[in-house]
Amino acid sequence: MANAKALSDFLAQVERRAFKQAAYAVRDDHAALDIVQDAMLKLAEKYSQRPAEEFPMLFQRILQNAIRDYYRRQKVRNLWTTLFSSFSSGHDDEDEHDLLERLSPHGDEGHNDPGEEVSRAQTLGLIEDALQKLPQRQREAFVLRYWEELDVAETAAVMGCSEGSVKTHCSRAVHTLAAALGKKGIGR
Amino acid sequence: MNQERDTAKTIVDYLQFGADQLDDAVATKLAAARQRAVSAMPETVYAAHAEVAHAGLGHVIHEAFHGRNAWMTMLATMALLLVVLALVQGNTTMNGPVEADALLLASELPPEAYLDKGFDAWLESTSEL
Repeated sequence: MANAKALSDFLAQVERRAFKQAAYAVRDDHAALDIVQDAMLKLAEKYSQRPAEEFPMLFQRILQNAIRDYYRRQKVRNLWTTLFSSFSSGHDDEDEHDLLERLSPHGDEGHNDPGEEVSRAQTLGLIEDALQKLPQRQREAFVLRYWEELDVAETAAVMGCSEGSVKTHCSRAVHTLAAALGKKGIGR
Repeated sequence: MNQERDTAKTIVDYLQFGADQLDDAVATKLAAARQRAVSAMPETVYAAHAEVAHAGLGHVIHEAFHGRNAWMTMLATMALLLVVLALVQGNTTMNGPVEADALLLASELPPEAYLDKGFDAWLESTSEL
């Protein structure tokens, strides 16, 4: 049985990735923060008595469900907005991404060459943009499998699909991302 | 397959870099959310800590009765029970005469009156008068 410290340590370990993951999915930092908060709360309230080893999968499942719930709510909201207003809510934040904004002035690698830092931030920006443009399932599979380091079976369990589908989604995601980077002259 | 994995790893390294460079305000909010979540844990989980704290004593007792020297523990327990039983028994038998003496001394009648066989008959005949 897990305790408060185990839960706190786990959340501290995953919270940043979870936020980014949600932000890539919903393209809205405020909504992403809400989603992560809800996921954390749900894990603590309903599953904190489970062994700490189960936390990663449980948390990912909760997070993915929270993201899907957000999509559903957005779909309904967009429908009503389209019906009753000529102004589209759109995704204003999408255009506000400035690559240079992603640079932290207090980064722990501050001793690096500023040119290198800019280049790294630009590449990150390209990757993030490409990741956001991926189909939802591909992005989900890629993040769970490679960033969260779940194995194929765990990823399939979280996504509610077969292991074969996970492999296909992951493969397509990697190829799409690699192609997007290649187009920008960032070949690996 | 390996190439795919390598590409994925490179991409993930960049993503991790982005997560590490997260805005301070967002990081603070995430930390606050984490605190709220931990404090929202059901109380039963906190109670489990108390169980863990007492697990030391529980372990000792379990070992004593189920470990290799369990038979010695059983013998010692039985001997202790016998001693306690004997002490309790001794106390009761010793208290019997003491209580009888106290009753006789506190009575209005002299002790000889209880031994006199005609006393009851005399008592009945006088009460009829």
